[in-house]
Amino acid sequence: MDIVFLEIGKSFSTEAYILTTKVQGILWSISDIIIIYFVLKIASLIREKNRKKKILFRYIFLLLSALLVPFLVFTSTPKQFFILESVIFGLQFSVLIYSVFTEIKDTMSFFRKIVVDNV
Amino acid sequence: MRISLFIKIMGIFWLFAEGLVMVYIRKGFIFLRKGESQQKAFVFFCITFFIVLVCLNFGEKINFDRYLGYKNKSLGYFYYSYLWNFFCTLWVAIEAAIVIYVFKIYNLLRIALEKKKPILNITLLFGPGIFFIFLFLFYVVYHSYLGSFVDMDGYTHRNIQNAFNFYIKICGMFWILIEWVVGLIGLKIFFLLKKKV
Repeated sequence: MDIVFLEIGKSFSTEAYILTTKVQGILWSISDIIIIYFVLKIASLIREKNRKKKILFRYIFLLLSALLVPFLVFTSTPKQFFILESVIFGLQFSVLIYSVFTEIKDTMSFFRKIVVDNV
Repeated sequence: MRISLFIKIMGIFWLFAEGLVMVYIRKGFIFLRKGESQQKAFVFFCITFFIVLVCLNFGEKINFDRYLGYKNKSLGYFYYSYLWNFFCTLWVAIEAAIVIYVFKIYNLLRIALEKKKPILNITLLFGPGIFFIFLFLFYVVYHSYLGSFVDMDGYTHRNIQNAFNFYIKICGMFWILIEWVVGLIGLKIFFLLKKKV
C-alpha cells in the first residue's frame, strides 16, 4: 500500500493534475448543462400549463455558460482553470438556485396532482 | 482579492448551493408523497453543519490550523487539503442524495402515468446508506494513511500534496457519474411528462 501511495505522490504531478482536471471539468460542465437544460424544459412545460410567461433569461445564462466551457481547454494553470470554472458554475448555479426557488412549488403541485389523480 | 480567499469563498458557496438544491428537492419529494413537507429538524441539522464548515473554512483566522498542528503534524501542514478533500467528499454525498430523490420522484411519476410497478428494490433501499458509509470511510482511511507519511523517508511534502490532489480526481469521477445519471433521469422525466400530460 505504501508503494501505491508513493507512486501516486511521485507520478501525479501538477501537469497530470491540470490535464485530468480539464478532462473532468469539461465532462461535468457538459452534464451540468444537460441537467439544467432539462430542469428548464420541465419548468417550461409546467409554466405553459399554468399559462405563465416563457423562460428566456435563464436559457441565455445557460447558453453563456455553455459557450465558456470550450475555453477550459486553453487554461494552463490550476488558478486559471479555477477562475473560469467558477464563472461557469456561477452562471449555472444562479439559474439552478433561481429555478428551484421559483418553480419548485408549482412543479411539485403539478406532480402531486398527477400522482394523486392517477393512483 | 487573494486567490486562496477566492477559493475558500467559492468552496463554501458551492457547498451552500448544492445543499440548498438538495433540501428543496427533498422537500418536494416529501410533499409529493405525503401532501405536506415538514423537515425542520433536517434543515436545522444542515444549517448547523454548514456553520461548522464555514468556521473550519476560515480556521486560520483563529489559528485553528496551528492548534491542530500541535496535536497532529500532518493536520497542521495540510489543514486546507484535508478540509478541501472533505468538501469534495460532501459534494459527492449531496449529489448522490439529489440523484436518489430525483430518482424517487421519477419513480412516483412513472407509477402514476405508466401504471408500472415501483422500481425500488433491495439495492435501492439499502444502496444509498452503504454508499454513504463507504464514501466517508474511504475519506477517513485514505487521509489517515496519507497523514502517517509526514516525515517518513522517501516522502516529500510535494509527494503527499500530489496524493491529496489525486483524491480530488477520485471524487471527480463520482461527480461525473452522478451528474450524468441525474441528467439522464431529467431527460426521462421530461419525455414522460411530454408524452403523457
